[in-house]
Amino acid sequence: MSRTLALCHICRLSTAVPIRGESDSALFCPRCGTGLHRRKPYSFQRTVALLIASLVLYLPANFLPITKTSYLGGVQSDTIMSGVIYFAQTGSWHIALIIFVASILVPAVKILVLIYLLLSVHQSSSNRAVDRTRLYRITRSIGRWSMVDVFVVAILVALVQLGPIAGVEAGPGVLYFGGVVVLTMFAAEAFDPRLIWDRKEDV
Amino acid sequence: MSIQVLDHRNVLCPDCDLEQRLPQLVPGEKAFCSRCGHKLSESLRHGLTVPLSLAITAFVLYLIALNTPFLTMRSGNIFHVTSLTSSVVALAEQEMMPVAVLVTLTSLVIPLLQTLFLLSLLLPLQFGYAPRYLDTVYRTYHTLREWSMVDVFFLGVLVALIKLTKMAEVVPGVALWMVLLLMFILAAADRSLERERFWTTVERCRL
Amino acid sequence: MSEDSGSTPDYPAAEVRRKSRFSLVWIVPIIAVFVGVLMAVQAIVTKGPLVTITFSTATGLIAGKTEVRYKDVMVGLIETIHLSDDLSTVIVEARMDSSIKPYLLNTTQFWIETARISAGEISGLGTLFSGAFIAMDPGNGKEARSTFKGRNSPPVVTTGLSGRLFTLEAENLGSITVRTPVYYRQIKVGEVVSYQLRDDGKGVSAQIFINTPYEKFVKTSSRFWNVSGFDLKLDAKGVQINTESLTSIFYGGIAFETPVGFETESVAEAGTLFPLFRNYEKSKEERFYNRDYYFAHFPHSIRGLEPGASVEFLGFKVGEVVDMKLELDVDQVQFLTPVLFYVEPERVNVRGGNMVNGKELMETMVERGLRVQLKSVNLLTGQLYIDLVFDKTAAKKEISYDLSHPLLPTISSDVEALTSSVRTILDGLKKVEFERLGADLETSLSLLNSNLKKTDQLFANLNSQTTPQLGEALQDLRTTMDAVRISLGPESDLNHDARVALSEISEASRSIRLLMNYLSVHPEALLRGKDQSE
Repeated sequence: MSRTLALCHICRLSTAVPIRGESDSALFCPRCGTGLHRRKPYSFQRTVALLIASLVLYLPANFLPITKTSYLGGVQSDTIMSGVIYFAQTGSWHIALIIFVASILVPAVKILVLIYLLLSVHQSSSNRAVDRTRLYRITRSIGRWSMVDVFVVAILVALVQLGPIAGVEAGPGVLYFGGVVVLTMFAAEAFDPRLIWDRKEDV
Repeated sequence: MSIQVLDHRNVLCPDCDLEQRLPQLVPGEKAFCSRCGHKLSESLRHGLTVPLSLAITAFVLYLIALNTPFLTMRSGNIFHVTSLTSSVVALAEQEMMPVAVLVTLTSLVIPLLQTLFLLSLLLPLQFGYAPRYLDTVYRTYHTLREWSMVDVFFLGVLVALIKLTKMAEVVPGVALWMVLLLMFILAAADRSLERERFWTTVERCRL
Repeated sequence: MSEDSGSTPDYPAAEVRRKSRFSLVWIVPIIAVFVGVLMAVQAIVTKGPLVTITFSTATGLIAGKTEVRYKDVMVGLIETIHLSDDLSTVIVEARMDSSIKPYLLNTTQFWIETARISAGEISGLGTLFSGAFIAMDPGNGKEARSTFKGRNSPPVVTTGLSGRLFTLEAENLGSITVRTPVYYRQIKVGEVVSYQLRDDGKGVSAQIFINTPYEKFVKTSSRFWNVSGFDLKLDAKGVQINTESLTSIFYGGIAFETPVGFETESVAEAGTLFPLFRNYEKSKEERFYNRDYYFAHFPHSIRGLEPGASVEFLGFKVGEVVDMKLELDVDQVQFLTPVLFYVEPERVNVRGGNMVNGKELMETMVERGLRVQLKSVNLLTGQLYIDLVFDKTAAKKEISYDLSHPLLPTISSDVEALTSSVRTILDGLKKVEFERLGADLETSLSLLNSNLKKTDQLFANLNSQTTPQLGEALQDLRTTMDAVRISLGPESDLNHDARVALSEISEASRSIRLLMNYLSVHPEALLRGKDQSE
């Protein structure tokens, strides 16, 4: 009976599994007990679904304010972008850059890259597979850094509580933004990069 | 049909599914996928004692960090002292529960769990004992790895501090330094856990 | 997807090398544990004492956040807040720094510092931003304590505040309250700390605290008066408004000065008692605390004596008349006019020895002949006052203690002596026999008239009966003239009498003038007569 190798995504053990017959989900890694799959189940659909969801949240994440700063009575609402602009204008361009990259660029790039990857897989494109794989790896690893802004807001809210003088309140935008980060992380994880190579080989 | 475990040295690349032979690695060597460059395996010089000791350190650091002040904001004569858990409380007070949960999980809970998992995985092995829960714990540990964001948290703290220095003076507390150390220790502990050696030890202990 | 054919040879299992040497990496957790334990131990060792404070309310206090501060430095943190069993008080437990432990004494006071306005001062504004905190003041006690009763308001005098406490006594509180400012030359130098009703209910006493360096301006002879509100004077010069400060209008005020006087100025010691006068004018008068009340019964009319009339002794005012009544003693069927008056023994400045007991002194003086007598202030108005005089000839009498106040013996005031000199004048005038004077004059005049008539007749007769008749007439005339000269001449009795009367009148008028001069200097001579020694 023909066998093929299956890799456990948890413990990286390669085991021989039958090609046909039982569906993948019935197989478990002998070492760590994780379900064995040759490909992540429903990877494409799951990625698409998660991407769409994160896109939906993307708009309110950027247009709704993430912080409401009250300073001696005046309240100022800030979105991610307005915060970046504020930093750039007041001379802290390095902070502006960090926030811009982490909170605006990275999520956008992630989404775009995933869309591109999905498209390329859908079209069974075969060029630059290595690059695309690398692209995927980078996308996967930078995803978590978008959380920076969420942490910034959390710390500001916790720290700046000086009564009537100064106070920071979290705006609704941060909720959606957190959702975007989480969903894109899930989307990237759902995507199976082996799909890139699959189509190539199938052809 | 049964599953047959083949030679350790035949592996599949997780990224491009290429099957290739994995040569025996000398401690210090790394093996990469010949097609897509994914790091397949690495042989580390040290054994499991390193991740264990680092995990213990991380645990101690956590205990200290949770019981010491984190950041103190000073405006005139008013001091506002916060701890690592202050963010949670503040966000929860503002009816931002989902965000509070997210922040707590990624910055506190999951990294702490990582530490505890490591301890629970490696301590018994140190004494030659492979308990049943190892598999589950290892699985959970691996799944959660991506979500342990102490480093991102620290960067967030830095950004927030720079944002605040204009407004008021912020005094870093012990917990902040603990977080910085934890950032490195946790990363080191994770990286020093060599997969293969772990499972080899597990299997040996199971015998 | 190719199967790897052929089993791979068994590679020698990886050597299990138990590292004999201790991996250096263990240093890392060891250090971490060491540091952690060190910190924990330090936290436990430096843990300060727990104090319990009861307050009436926990407004502004948050467990785990609210601080305890001394001189605005944090010295403790509230750990728990809960209600007492009977829900009447709030029990606060605070963990204090170990450094503050020696200052937790029986005189330590705690209060909640919040923004408050009192006596024109706003304090604690910072707490609007930082939240309330518990303030403490150690005091100078010697005993250590760990349970305290929190105050509702901050104490006025706190430890380390240097200055001096004094006590003021007044009849009424007026608008004095806690924190009422005390001024010296219109600068605030202190404030009222507390006040209470005197034990005997006859007045109030207030404690004031004068801050350094002003306490040296409070001398033993300083006078304190109330400057609350403002003085409005409307007189011929116009309207005059006097006020010490805006604060004093609303919160009351006390001012003091040290008038130049008999005594050498010496700085008053802490705790010295001062009277508080109602206003500036009153402070210029003497004011004394103790009054000895006495009765006196006068056997004659006391018309002209009114309440408020002075009681004098040796020319000094020593007291005042309080009241008088008309009484009928039924048993003896006798009318009495008891007069109630008081004497302030402190008006007598004692030289050498201690303060005198007024009543004992009075007894001694009565034994020596001191009596109460009514005297006239003013001849015209008839206003009377009481004079305490020594009557050496008086019969021995004692103070009677039958009534509610001691009854002093009196001597009657000699009202006749009042008019004795005047009577002398009148007597002198009486000696002058004005009637006879008048009758003689009339006789003389009618004689003259008849003589003149006779002269007419003479001259008529002269025409007829001449010289012998003229001679007769002249003779008659001469006789008449002699008669007139005798009666009216310089040697005549009439003349003499008249002269005597006139000289007596001038004598009397002179003596009246002398008397008036003398009386103006010694009015009591009217009753007593001239002093024998003069």
